[in-house]
Amino acid sequence: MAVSESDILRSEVRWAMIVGVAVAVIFAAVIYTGIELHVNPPSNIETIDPKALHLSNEFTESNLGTRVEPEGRITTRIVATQFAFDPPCVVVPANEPVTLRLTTPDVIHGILVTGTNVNTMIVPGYVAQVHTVFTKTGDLLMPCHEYCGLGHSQMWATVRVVPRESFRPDAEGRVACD
Amino acid sequence: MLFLLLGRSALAGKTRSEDTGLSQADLDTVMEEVPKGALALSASAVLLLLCGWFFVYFFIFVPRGTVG
Amino acid sequence: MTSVARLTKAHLWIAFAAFLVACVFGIWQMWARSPLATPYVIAEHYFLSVTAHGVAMAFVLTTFFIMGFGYFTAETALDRPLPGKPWAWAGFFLAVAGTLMAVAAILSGQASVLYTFYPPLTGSPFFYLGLVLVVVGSWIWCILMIVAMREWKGAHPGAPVPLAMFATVANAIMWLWTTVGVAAELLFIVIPASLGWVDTVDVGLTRTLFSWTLHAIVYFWLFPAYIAFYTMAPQAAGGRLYSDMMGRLTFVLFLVYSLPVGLHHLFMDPEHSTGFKFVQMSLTVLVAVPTLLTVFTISASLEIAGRLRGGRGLLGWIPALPWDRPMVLATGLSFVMLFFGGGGGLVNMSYGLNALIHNTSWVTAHFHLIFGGTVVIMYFAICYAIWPRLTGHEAGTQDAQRLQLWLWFVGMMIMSLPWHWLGLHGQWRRVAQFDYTNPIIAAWGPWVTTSLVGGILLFASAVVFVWNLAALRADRKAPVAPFAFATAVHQPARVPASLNGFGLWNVLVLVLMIAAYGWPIAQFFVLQPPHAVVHRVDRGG
Repeated sequence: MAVSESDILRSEVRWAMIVGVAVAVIFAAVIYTGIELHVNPPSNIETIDPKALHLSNEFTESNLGTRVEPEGRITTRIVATQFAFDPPCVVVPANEPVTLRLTTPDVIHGILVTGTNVNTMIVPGYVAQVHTVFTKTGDLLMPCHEYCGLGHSQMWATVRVVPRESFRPDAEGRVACD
Repeated sequence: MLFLLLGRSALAGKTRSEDTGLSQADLDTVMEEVPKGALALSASAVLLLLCGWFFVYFFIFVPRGTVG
Repeated sequence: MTSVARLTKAHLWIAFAAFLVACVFGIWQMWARSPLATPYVIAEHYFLSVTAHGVAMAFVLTTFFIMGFGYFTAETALDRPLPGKPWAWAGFFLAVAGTLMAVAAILSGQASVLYTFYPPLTGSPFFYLGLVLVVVGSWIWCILMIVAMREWKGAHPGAPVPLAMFATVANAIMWLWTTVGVAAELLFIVIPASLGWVDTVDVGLTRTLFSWTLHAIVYFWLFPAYIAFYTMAPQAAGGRLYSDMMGRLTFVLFLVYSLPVGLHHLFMDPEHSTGFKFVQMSLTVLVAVPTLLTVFTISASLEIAGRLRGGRGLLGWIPALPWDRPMVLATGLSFVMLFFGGGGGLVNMSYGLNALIHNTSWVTAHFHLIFGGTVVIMYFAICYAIWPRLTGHEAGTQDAQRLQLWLWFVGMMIMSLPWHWLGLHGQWRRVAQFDYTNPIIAAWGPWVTTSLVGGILLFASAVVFVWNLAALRADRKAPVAPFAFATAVHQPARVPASLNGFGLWNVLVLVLMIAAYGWPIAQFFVLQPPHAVVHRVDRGG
């Protein structure tokens, strides 16, 4: 007996349901990751004038690097410029919540930290913010991963993850690499 | 694998003219089986993709810690 | 020979000339990134090369190929002369002029901003204006495709538009929608900046407008491959298309769902909220559906062919297929690359998981497998299928064609599989040279060198491909059968009006685009974020 067009469409619908289930499984896992594990893309929409970073209270030269805030939170502030990070090396403690805050006075940059899920674009006009916990100690690479001009290849920094006991803030709460 | 490259095997030996002489009866006969094989092939591919995704998720992504 | 033969060949030769040059740039870039000593590596050369490679592959190869193949399809599938042929030539010369302008700007080092622009980096206005001309040339093509279909429908009231042409027009309409984003970015922001009319740009807005284009453009490139899957591969294998209706549905779904998803390229950007990123991630999940429907429909079509050739059992039809035919071989290899490329893509689109691989070699691997692999191998197969009809020459033997397809496949796998591994280990993108004295980077060396071997095979394949096309001119002249697209098991006599035109789907695209992109674009006008100062790359800075 010849197979009719409706038989064919029925088999396609059956297949579409299999596809639907497969896609729904991934979708559910992504939602679970976002809501339960709190893994979401960096999306804080916080603006800052790239032409006047030096006038901002937060991203002035003296306030960059890692600092234990008065209320105890640990924040690392980094400015990405053509073609270097300031500071070029930051210290963070292992197994503690850390907030990275990054911005740029010039063009688009971006960072990842090797071996971790830390990843964000740095777009002029915005503060990029990533909350994370570093679990492995050692010197990690933090390269600029977005094309920012001819010096892009030389633009990278170091994230030095130290055991909690070696993380010793000074009187102002600051910790630096050297 | 070699027959795929050179196309000289018995399986690949049929010529084009036989294809155009495709009869409705032959088509009806094979349509009894189709798409069982296609379903098996595509379903295994999707299953493998799902496994791959969860492998990356559990063994690479989750151990690298939370970000947000 | 068809009457659009000269037109089609002109487009395809430009496409593949750009392709061959782009392959040279590509292989040199991989060499530069490897631990091996490489000649000429300075930043100026490297980023000139990356820009040239991207523009040639993503804009020139694709646009010219799609236009040329579209003209061929319009005349062959509709079986009537192409309307407005002088316009088609005008579009061709416009696009060629634009290409030459852009190439001059790139090769003089005045436009090393890569093919994705990255304002506030700003290059020579000739670069952007050249690309605008290419797009305008392609718009003429879009209009001609729509007119051709409309005239055919007028002459055949109620009859289903042949699937190959239905898909081509779906692509033309999608491309008109797609180019709105990049056109707005270039015309209102980037070109005024490059002409010195404005000193600052809203970077978030430019990125958002580019993202509008950035995903759908990939489906623009992909359409010819899918047209070949549905309307050429079943015929080449000696079978029937399993379902014409599913083909129509697939192409309509591509039109609808490839547009409102571009924000997934900006998951890691600070200027968009998690809400809209999540919305567009959800729509991105849906764009996987037409591809998975295609995998099934085409597998079933090939199963018909394999069983007709005596294949037995659940999977016995696979070895029974005529793998010696370039179109069948290319389809099989294309599906294997789609499996790996699509798998990588599933990770990319998974919202939070994007942080794992964003801007690493994983992404480069993904789009080389999907575009360079899945899609471009079908461009090759399409050329092998239509070239005899364009030239009146049939190849004496297909050995060289098979060899070329295999080289491309093996080369692509050897090149891109290590890139996935490197991406997971943090190898980042767009870098001329790595410091292999760093212990983390030193471990990457062998993998980078392995991928370079894949690149060499790809280059060899590209040379053989162009040779194969050129050789057909000189090969024996033989009577060439008229071109026939595949027919379906049940070739429809009537299809629902919704699957025979695009009115309804255009409305749906509009609604989805307003929902998905309305606020993400409007927010920049409400929020008024601070602008960034233009940084010129063409004036010594």
